Amino acid sequence: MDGLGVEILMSRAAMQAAHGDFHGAVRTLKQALSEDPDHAGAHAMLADMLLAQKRLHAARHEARVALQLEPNHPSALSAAARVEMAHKQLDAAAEHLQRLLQLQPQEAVHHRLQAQLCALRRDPAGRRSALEHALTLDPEDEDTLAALADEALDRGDVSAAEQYAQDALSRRPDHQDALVAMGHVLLRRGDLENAREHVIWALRQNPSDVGALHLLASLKARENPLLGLWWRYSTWTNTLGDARQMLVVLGAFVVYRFLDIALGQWEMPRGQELASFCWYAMVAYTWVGPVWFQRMLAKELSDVKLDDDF
Amino acid sequence: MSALSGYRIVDEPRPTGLAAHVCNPMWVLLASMVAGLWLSAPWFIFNAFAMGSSSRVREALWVVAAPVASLTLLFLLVVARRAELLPSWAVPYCMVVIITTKLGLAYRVFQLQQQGYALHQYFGAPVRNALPLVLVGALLRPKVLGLVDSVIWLVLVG
Repeated sequence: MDGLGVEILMSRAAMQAAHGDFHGAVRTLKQALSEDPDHAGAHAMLADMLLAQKRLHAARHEARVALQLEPNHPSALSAAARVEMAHKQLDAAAEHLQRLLQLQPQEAVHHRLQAQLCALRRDPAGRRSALEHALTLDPEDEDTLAALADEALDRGDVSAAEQYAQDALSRRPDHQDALVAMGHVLLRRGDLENAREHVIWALRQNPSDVGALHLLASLKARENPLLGLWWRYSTWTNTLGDARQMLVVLGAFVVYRFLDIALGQWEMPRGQELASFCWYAMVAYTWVGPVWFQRMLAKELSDVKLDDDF
Repeated sequence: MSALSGYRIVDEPRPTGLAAHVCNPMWVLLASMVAGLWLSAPWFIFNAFAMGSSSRVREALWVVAAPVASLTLLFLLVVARRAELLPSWAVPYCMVVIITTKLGLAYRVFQLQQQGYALHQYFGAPVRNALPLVLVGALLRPKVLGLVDSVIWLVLVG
């Protein structure tokens, strides 16, 4: 197979990824790289697919290979920036992004990436400015409009979010991110039924869309306060990263054990019983919570029927 | 098909002939809590090598770190106690620190192994239910800990 064959395989992988079939996209890209192991674009694309599968270590490896092969390849720089953001290495991500913006300053997609970086750096002004710049470069871009809707939601401006999401949906009624943003708008307004319709619509097109699944989980959590508590705890711990998660769990254990010993030394058996009860209740809740939650989501998703062209 | 097997992604597991005996590392973590290091340490290492995890050497090193760290802390505790730097009421708290260190290391191995295990499952490899082994380990725990009448043994394998 020649270079053209690799390009065809990459197009197929892009199509698979657009439908949420990252497994298929990775297989296709492996096939492409078997034909041409020095194709920087294919390595960069593979890095993006692996990132979507949360295979961070492998994604970083592929992005680095792509950059070694072609240090100024826009896809390689973009993939490297995304990967470093996922690893929370924001300075490294900024470096790649800066080079990318020097190479292609007129690409709206790069400014959206810049906005993502600003969001991670808790720089709302920078995020908004990057997105507004992206919109001036391409006022018809649904992705930018959906990102602006998301940004407006984060700063609590539900009306602006609705406007941006509607703009995006008027241009492309099946836009995933815009559907999810509109779902969040409806959720904030307490219209759970319509929010659910939007999320199911989004999931019909791409059942593995993280944003849509997140919204669906938020909806389920809203319906059930006990699950909502677990969902909030889970979302919080997920933002912490592996090491901090471990510290939280072990910290809770140490607090419980120290309290148990201290109450024993002070001869307070009722206090010991209460501490033990609280500890075991927390353990049981965090053990059962995810299983329960997953079952509820699976039940909800069993109604999702895929589009014919999925 | 040959083209598919031609390029290998770095984190792809390299399964061995023992891949059919791989189990969810969650069970091994549970074994470290209810049975002890005597069961979980070799089990973690076995699991890592059986599934051909890309981080198997790192996982094995973390497993080895657990008894080393426990013994070091125990040694410091004994020294501090003999030098009367530590009151007797503080000893149970220090033992909690030793237990937490071991749990922390087991949790670290679990986190590392979970990534390899997710890929192991992703590629459709078989998985064993390890609950019976955890229960047997919990039942055997008193006998194993009673094999040697020594605090060092308790800290090492408990």
